[in-house]
Amino acid sequence: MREGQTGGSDLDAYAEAEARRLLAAAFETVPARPGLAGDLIAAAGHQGTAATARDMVVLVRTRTARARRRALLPAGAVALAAAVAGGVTAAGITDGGGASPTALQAVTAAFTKMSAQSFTFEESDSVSGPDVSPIRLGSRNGEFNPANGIGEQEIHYYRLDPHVIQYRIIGKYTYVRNGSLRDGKPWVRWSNGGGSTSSVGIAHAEGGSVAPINPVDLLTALKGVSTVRYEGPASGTGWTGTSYSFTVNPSKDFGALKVSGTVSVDSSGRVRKLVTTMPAGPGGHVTTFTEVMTFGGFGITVSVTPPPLSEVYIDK
Amino acid sequence: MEPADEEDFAAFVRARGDHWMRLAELLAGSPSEAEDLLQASLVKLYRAWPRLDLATAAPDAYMRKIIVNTRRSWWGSRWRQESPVAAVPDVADPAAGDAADRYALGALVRGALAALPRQQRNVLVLRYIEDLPEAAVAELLGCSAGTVKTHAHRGLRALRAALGDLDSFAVNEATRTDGEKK
Repeated sequence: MREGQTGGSDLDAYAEAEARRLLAAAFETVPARPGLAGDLIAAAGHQGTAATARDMVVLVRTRTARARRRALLPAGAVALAAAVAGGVTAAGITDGGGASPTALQAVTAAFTKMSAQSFTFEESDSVSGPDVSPIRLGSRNGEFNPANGIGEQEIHYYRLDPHVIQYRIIGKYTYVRNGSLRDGKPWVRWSNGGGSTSSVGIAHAEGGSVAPINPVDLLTALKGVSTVRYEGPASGTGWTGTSYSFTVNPSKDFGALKVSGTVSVDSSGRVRKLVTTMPAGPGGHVTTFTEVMTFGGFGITVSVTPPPLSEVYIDK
Repeated sequence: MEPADEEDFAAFVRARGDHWMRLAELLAGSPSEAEDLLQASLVKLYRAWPRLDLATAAPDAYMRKIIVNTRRSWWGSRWRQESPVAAVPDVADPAAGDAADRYALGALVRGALAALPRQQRNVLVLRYIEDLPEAAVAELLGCSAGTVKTHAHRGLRALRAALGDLDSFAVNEATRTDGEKK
């Protein structure tokens, strides 16, 4: 090959032809991946039939809904909490009232309280529908101290390529281990973007951070909440409290997708459970994506050590 | 989204999903990462679909931009199961030219491609599979045309180094006139 002039080099015709030939072979022989098609068929609840456009759209919307919700969840609740703390009701948010006129404040206060102490969490994602058997998509569990940004978690993916990914979040770095090696090392370290370790959900909609659930983000997420309503008593293992429902406003960015859910707050004013649902599907074919998060272990000592440097690939 | 838009989007995925899945695998370097990349990109395309001006640009053009940008932003801060092939797999008589050998060659190239630095891989895929001119690749990747040329040159050189002597693959290629092999 000829070396080129300043700023680049030219490939001669042979090299270009060779590049096309090799890349064409690489492209054309990519093995068929049943994952997407398999998911479509499973989502449709049928076996051995081709996925219809409706099924495809349902699945894409389901995942879109999950992605949107993950974008929504971190957006707004801090503003909401600040607004409440400042004595100003966040614009566009109504307190649904019911038995108590302070439903909005109770939920906000609960998230605010969480942001000041460590906790353990578990999360489970699934999709279901009238003619779709519930499909468990994934789960995760871990612990996190939002005060110092220290935490760890495991994420279990059940679909497509089932695997487990471990995370250790220590300040501005996240260490990830997923069973593969990078330059012969089992861990990869990357810097947490935006100076924050916060992210909600197994896969953030737009970015790449998969830090543990941070209540600061959960607070921020309620930005688009239109109604918070008192629902009634709630209880779980070792706690009793109150359940509130919420709905999220449709928006120009996220369309008419209806996100709703419930927040359960225990008698100590801490969030114990957060359930988010998104119906999806055109016409009468409704699929619902559901994410259930539970919290506990408040105030535990979260101690996470980084893996040995010799086992870490530093991603730049 | 309007039902007509939804149907158009679904039709696009049906018609072109396989193409983008393959491209995603070449860009991402592994099947599982490719699926995540494709899914994330389709989500973005779906959200943008009602606003696309399909009279002036085909959905593929938007999808191309989305998939490249998604990968660039996502992979910069996220490690996935990139597992470059550590050893070049054996290839049974590549000069035989039958389907099995083509598959073997394809697997070989994909493995070598996965080991390339990200931008070299991007350039090779966009230039020689998507067949984009250098200027278009430069715009997609946010760099100069000169940089694209450099990445192409270095990427192909690295690919050849990883693949070894490929003359035996070139049975059906036009005879070279200059005899230069590197």
